[in-house]
Amino acid sequence: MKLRQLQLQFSQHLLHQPVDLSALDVIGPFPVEQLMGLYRNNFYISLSQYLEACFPAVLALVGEEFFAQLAKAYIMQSPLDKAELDVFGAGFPRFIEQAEQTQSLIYLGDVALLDWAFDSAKAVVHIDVFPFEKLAQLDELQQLKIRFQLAPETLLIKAQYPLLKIWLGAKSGNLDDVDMQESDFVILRPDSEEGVKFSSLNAHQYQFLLNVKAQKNLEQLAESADVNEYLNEYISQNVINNFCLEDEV
Amino acid sequence: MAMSNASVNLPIVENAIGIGLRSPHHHRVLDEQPKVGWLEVHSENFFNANSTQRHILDQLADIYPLSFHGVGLSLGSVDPVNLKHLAKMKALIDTYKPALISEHLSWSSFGDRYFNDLLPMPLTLESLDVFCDKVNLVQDHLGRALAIENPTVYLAFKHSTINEWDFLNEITRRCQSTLLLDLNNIYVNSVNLGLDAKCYLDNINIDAITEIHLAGFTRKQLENGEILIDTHGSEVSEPVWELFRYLREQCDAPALIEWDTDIPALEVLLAQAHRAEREQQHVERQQRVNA
Repeated sequence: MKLRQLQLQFSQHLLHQPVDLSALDVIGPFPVEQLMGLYRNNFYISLSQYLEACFPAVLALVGEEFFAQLAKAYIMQSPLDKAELDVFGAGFPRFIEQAEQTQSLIYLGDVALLDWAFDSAKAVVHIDVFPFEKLAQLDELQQLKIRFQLAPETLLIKAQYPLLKIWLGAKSGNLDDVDMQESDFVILRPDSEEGVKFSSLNAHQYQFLLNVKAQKNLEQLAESADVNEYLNEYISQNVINNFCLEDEV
Repeated sequence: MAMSNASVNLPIVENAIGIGLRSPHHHRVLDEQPKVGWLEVHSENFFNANSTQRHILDQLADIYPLSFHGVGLSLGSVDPVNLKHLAKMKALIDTYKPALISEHLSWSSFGDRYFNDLLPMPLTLESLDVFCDKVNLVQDHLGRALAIENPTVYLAFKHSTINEWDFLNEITRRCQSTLLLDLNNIYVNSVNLGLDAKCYLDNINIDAITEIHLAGFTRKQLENGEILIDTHGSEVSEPVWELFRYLREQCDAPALIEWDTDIPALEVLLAQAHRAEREQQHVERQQRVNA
């Protein structure tokens, strides 16, 4: 058998496509189905373990068996198009949100988003400090047109359930005091000292930061919020850590 | 092609015992700087230049000789070499100038889809041509020799026509590459496929070995009996230590304790490295007595 044909059939078997295994001309200590099954299991288990490590709160909420089913469906649906696994889990939150079997767990997709964002924020090595000197060089008209930037890997989520309590409760194993009637606005972001910071916001804070993220300029931000108060707060916390001029957008 | 290692950052000395560095131990190794001869990392985990891992590796590179062990070049695949992957590999190697670079006698992709595993090749002349062409291309691009690791396989192909040791020896001859000999892989294959591990060591080109791997396996029960799985998730087994002593009588290539799953406390890993040192001291004593 030519190498190309062998690798095609081997790959198809890994992906659960029908293959005549006897054509592979395999020899070994056990029947070909069992030996090829080892490779197929290794493929799914290794990627499933990777997803488990990336999504600990999801795993805690649904348990190993259900997680393995979700992971397998995701692996089959999402071809791994490069050798590194670094972004393989990026689509998992969206997959969970849309999966038929998770429709009764409306918060699970957002919990997955927090899991993924936590690792992404933790991986940020350097966060710029807000460039006050650059800002001071602008005239008043130019300043009105600047667009602020959030620190890299900052996540904002609006939820109809107490998302942060669910996420933290899943990670700590204590979900007793979670009132599912509460709603939540969550920010998770990188922090130079603590690695990652997360908290709940009120609706106004959330909307202001969402407007910043949407690249509204200072003049537009001022239309709907007390800009000075928010800017002082979020620049001092390095949540807003940079800005760009209108022609740099 | 120049295969000079003159630009290596810190060289690995003969007989040096190293450990595979995995993320749970990054900070402790950096803080405590345990006395080991060298560190090996999986290249692909360090491709992102802005990652915290790279920040740690920057500091470790000044302290320890490094080896980059690749798992993603898929050299045995009929797919062309992934040039994006190769470019990332080259950038990493040019930055750190590691003492060793290695990859596997296996394939892990087909039709641009990756399988996150080291899959078995039939050992035929066609496979040899495919593999050597890709090793040559990669080495030309990197300007460095690769060490090729013997794989664990759970099956063989009836149409294979070449012994694994002959296959590897021929790769080193054709490509001027070297060998990374994983003794656990040899042992696991010998048990699963009924091969003679010492015969393998007697026939492999000892002079081409630039690195030795020592690792553990687990036993898995299948319907028809037991099979050994190369999990790298336990201590080195006694039969593998025996193979290490046997090989050490003829080969002083640096050796590595490799542990990838169920990663234990750093102390356990270091104790395995110390065991390797004791084993080779024992061999040296025996050789002096015999002399």
